[in-house]
Amino acid sequence: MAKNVMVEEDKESLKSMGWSEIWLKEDWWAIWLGLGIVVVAYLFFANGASIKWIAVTPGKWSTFDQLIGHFTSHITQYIAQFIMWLIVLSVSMRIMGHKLGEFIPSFVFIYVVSILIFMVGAWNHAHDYNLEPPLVALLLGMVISNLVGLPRWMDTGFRVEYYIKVGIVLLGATLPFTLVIWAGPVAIFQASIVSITTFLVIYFVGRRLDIDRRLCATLGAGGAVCGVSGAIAIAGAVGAKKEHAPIAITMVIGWAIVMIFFLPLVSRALHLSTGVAGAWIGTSEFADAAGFAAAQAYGNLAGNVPGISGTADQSVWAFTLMKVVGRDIWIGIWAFVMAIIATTRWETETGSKPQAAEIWWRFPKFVIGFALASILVTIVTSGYSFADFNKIVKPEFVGPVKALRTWAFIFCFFSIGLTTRFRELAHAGGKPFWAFSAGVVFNVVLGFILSAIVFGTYWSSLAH
Amino acid sequence: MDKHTPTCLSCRHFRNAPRYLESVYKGLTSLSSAYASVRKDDGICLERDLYLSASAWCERHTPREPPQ
Repeated sequence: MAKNVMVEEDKESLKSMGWSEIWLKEDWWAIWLGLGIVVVAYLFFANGASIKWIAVTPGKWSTFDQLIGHFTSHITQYIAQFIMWLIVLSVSMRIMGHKLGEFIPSFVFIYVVSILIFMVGAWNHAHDYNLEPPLVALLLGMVISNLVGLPRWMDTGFRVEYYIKVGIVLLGATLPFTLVIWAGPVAIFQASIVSITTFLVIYFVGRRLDIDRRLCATLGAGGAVCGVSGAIAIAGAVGAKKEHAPIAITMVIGWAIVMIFFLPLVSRALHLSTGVAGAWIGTSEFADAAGFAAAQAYGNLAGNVPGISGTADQSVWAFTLMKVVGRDIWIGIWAFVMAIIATTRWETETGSKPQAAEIWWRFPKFVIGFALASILVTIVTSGYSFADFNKIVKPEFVGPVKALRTWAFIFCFFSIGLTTRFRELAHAGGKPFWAFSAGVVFNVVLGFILSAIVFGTYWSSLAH
Repeated sequence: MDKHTPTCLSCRHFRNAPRYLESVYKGLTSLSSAYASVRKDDGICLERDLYLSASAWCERHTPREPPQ
């Protein structure tokens, strides 16, 4: 590597972020951007206006004439929305250190194809062929990245985690905080049972296969807590070998992609209600992005496929409660505990002194934005009757925020596909595969039992 | 360790720049990010081939050269 590039890298590496993460990490930018949209949407609403003009999405269509008619009559809105996304995302990306010369053209590509993906999903026969936008976005992205290929610099625009975190903050605006308070404890209880037992299964099966303790813990966090993010958090906390994280990344990505299709398919075959399916996906999917793809795809079936009860919102809400509230927010504690275990009970090559502050610094900060968005909207809409909420608040305030959330999610799902290059993934090896897969099987079965049987009635009637 | 013990953060063998980590760990950006809070300041030790916290330390610590 050229000396000047090394020097630049050294300068970046010297940073201990501390509070500067407020403008250097995606979690915080998801808060600024997501909460900013919610606040602007509310200010418009409070003054008798609405942001719905800019929150345009393709409507349902059955003929090409309808589709073309929609775009010709709304083209200005699409251009305005594109400019809005481009400006807010570019500013944040630049401040975080990305190159705008790479991000801007890449995001143009993302946005244009996202419109096409929306169009497919809006076709009135899309459900008959399982052409749910999240799945279409994922598959299209994977076909492009694995069979066609794109210049590597375009990865700058394929920010999976950033888009999903913005989407989750916007999701907070559509999820009543009273539901978080009411259903949160159940979600935490159920998710904790599954997370802890799945971690132990992966860890101890791995140890029986004579896998390094640190890799067992890294795999366990990937399979039980929060996917790749959980894996790298634990890998860092226990001082794993450099090659441990890529092994866990491969296992999580492989199984997460499988589960995006498996869980909704099985749920559909069993006619699970959307709330139950969302809860099951929340316990048995590994990553937020993959889980939202599955939950949103299944939720879209409600009202369109016979035998599936519930609403689209219930699927996404149940998933969010289970995954974000039940699992994600605890990663700091997992990392702190594992760091203590690693330094006190395992032989390590380096020294370290785990600090309780670890719990805060590793806390997924975007959840704060999610909670604030939920609290804000719950408070400002508390004076409306149920009828008025549906007649006034939904179309003028919450609905447009939800539409923008859907855009962020589509950006995310398409980016997952575009960045999942199977040939580049590290070779995991047989033993890590079997250890992780043992956890997957256990997780899926236990997750189903708790979501569909033990707490089935609860999740089916979520928010009713 | 006391507060004067040099840590990985100041060692020339330690790399934790987000762009670097995403280039080394293929697949990281498919479902996660080196710009995420959960990563904190973790990075790679090129001397020991470890992925660890920036606050760790060892006897092979070598101070970085100051920027030219």
